[in-house]
Amino acid sequence: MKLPKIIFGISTEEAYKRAMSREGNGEKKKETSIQLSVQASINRKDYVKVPNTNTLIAKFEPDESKGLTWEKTHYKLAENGLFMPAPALFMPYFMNVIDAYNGKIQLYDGLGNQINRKEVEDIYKHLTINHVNNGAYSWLDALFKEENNFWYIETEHRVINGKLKGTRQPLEICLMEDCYVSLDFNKQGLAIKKSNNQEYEQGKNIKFVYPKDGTVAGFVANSDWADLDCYRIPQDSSSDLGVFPCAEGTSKN
Amino acid sequence: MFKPKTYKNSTELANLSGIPIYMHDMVDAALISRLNTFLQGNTGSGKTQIVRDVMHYLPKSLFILGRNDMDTRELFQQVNPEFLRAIKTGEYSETKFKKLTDKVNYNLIAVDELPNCVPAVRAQLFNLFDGFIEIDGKAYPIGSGYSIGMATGNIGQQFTESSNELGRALKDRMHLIIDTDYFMPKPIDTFEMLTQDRNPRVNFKEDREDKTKEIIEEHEKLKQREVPFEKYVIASYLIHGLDYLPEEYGGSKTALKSGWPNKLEGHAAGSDETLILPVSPRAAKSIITLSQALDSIIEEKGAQPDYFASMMTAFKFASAYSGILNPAAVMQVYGENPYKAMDAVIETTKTQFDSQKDLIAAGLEMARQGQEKQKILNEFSGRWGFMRNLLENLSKKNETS
Repeated sequence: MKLPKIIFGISTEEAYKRAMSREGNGEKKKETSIQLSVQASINRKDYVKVPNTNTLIAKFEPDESKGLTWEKTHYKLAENGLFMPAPALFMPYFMNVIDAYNGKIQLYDGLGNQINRKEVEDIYKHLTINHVNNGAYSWLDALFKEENNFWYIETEHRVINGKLKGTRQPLEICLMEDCYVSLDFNKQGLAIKKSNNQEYEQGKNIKFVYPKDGTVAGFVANSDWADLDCYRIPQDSSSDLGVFPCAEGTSKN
Repeated sequence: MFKPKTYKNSTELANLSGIPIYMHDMVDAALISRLNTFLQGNTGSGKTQIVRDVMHYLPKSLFILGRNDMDTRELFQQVNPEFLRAIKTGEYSETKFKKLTDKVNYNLIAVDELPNCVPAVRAQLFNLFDGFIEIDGKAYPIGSGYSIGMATGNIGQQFTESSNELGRALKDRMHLIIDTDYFMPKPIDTFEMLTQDRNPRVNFKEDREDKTKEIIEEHEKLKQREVPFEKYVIASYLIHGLDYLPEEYGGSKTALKSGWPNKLEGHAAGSDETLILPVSPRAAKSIITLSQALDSIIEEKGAQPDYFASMMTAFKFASAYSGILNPAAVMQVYGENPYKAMDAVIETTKTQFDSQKDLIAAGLEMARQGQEKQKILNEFSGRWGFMRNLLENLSKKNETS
């Protein structure tokens, strides 16, 4: 069959060049130390390189990110060239932290140094119980909308010309009930499988609160559970509520 | 090409490349693509008049008014009186029937109120629509090189009941089902129809304007028209991408069989996973064919076709009543309007293609070079997993050629 050189108005040759020049090979591989060049002004030692990406994520929520509404948090992060993690980034990272805690993988900081065992434990416990600042309490970048009985997720918000703009996608199949869920997530980072155990098991399951129209996502860990909560009110704010800032880097290797 | 003599309707069914598509354009598309069409709708929605207007251009038409007391003998009598004579006189041979069926050269088989017919008659009518007659289990092609079936009826909600014999038969045998109730003529249309003719009966004028030659020529031209490659990709998505479910849910809607969509209840309300099944390969062929006809109509009106848009319009009209939508969702979420449900599916499909088209283009270039780059192939997962298989095989073919 003769294949076209243009499809959907796109030159196949140019698309091919773009695809091949992108970093990564599309498949997950064992993470090794990679030096990243980051434009945002951050202390890279306070960040973890999210495995198989060029994204850095803060080990803990910095105090200066706390006390803001969901929207103001976006603007605050943008001032420093940072962004809020979407569940699509955060939940795989959460699993990476569990894997690192269980000794299956290594985590590296923003300088490319291996994160030591003690710190991996702190990060793991912060994401799963009330450890370090009473556990994680953070916004995630996902706004849920229902229009004409159809569900959408708006994510990848960035401040462009002073305005917050996101990318809207149809919501992929996910659980639509509040329950404990196994650590299986769809591409958008939302839970897809109910846990066999409907009680909290640290590092084995989390609580999931399903999306409602106009709500946003957040991640919480406390003495009772860890929770991917898609029913957070974007206008809320609290002195404890912050964000894990993220910075985009490019590989030096 | 097809300009109805009496029927008027300026309600848009779709808009392609800035060109409005009206009911008569859709009928035109059905004629030149030779897709059997069922017009569903309430009394007075104009469906019978559309069929009559088509007959105006195709004089070699057989018009049958569906009745529940009609049997197959009467049907054969109407198709060709010699059939019954042949049976009665014992001249019952294959050769004899072949000669008789060859003489049946109707270009249009038009059936008004098809649902009134008993199942045995309906089955023979569907065969006639497809261009053959079945006698004693043997199919005899009818003589005309070009024949198409058009039927009307009002069966309402029975359509959505898969257990309903009539609904199932219509879904299987009619390529295009249009519910005229959702595209009613505007006040100015009815005003013009009233001022044109005050006879309340459907117009049965005999002064026909023969356009058979033009319609057949257009049909032949359409068959030769090259199908753009993106249409095959879109059709593959409708067959395989729409079938995808995460492994946790069985991996495939089709494999869930009668478990779909109930086994997914409580998940992703509003996503297309619970709303629509994949189209069948046969339906995909109808969708491509209809979209080709729509492209040709758009070109005739002086615009450049948008292949994605014409495929989606064809998908909408070929699938809304084809039994692939979840009837409970259509009823509860989309106010019983299957076209609204199709619009929602199309919006998702558009978003999916917008996010993947650059990768698809890259994948095609890879395949053209006869290579298999995991960097590109690994990008196709989930509902796009089919693309990986497609590209791997296209690459292999190009590698060896």
